[in-house]
Amino acid sequence: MTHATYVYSGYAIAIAVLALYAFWVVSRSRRAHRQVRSGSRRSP
Amino acid sequence: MSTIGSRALGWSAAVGLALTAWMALVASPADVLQGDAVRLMYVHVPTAWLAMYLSFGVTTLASVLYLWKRTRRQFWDLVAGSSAEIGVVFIGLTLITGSIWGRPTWGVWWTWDARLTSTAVLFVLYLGYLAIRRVPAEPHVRARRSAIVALAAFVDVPIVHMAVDWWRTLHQEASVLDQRRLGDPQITGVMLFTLLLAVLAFTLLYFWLLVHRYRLARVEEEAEAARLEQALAERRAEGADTAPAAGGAAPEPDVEMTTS
Repeated sequence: MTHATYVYSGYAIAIAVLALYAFWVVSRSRRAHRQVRSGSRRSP
Repeated sequence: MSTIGSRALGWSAAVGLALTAWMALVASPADVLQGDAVRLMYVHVPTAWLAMYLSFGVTTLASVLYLWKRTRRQFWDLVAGSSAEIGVVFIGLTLITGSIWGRPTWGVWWTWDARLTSTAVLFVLYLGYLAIRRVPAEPHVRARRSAIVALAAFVDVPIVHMAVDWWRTLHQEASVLDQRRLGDPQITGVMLFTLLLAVLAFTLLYFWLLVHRYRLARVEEEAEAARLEQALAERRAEGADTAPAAGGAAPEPDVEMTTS
């Protein structure tokens, strides 16, 4: 393998890991906020 | 932080990371000795710095503030946990990109070098910290226990930093944060600019992730407290239904206090 292959592999893994983690955090955060808001509307 | 503020932070981080990728892969030159493999440094070094000094530093500071009675607030416990999780992601990336860099440069994916080993230990220590945060307990018990573990885990950070000076290692010595050459880094020009830009972009990413991870942790705590309250109310109602009609006291509901 050439150096460029290692470099692009490293960047692909880094981008994938960061994107997946960011997506996981933001989507769960938004879902939890929606649940809390809908729960507070139901409760008196 | 407001939604507009966190969005501005997120977009700044995204633009910074895109610019970093372009600088690292296109504009920055290859190294005389390392060739193109040096481009991995623009991910490897910032993630290492941000994990060790910023993420785990914030976790340690927040843990101290939680343990100190005058500043004890659940806020600090949630900040500590959120920052540690981001730090674990960053230090994981440090190990992966370092391994990918090591294969063309050293000829091996991994070696039991002092810097590499102490970094792997750091990764495992903070994974353990995150696992301990998941052990069911009352919130204040879990927070105190986690804070103590966080302080113990941080002991490895100066060991990782000094490993290249204390032992003869395959890993190169510090190029920028060398105490003997402060203000006179061993890389200059476009390469230094790209590295500093990468540090800035990853710092923005860290704070954006911290804002969202903290919000998530806070909502999870509120939801857990609400579930517990509801479970207690249901058990009390069951106890009242089964209590003797006249005179007898209802048995205390036996509800186990658990949190996730």
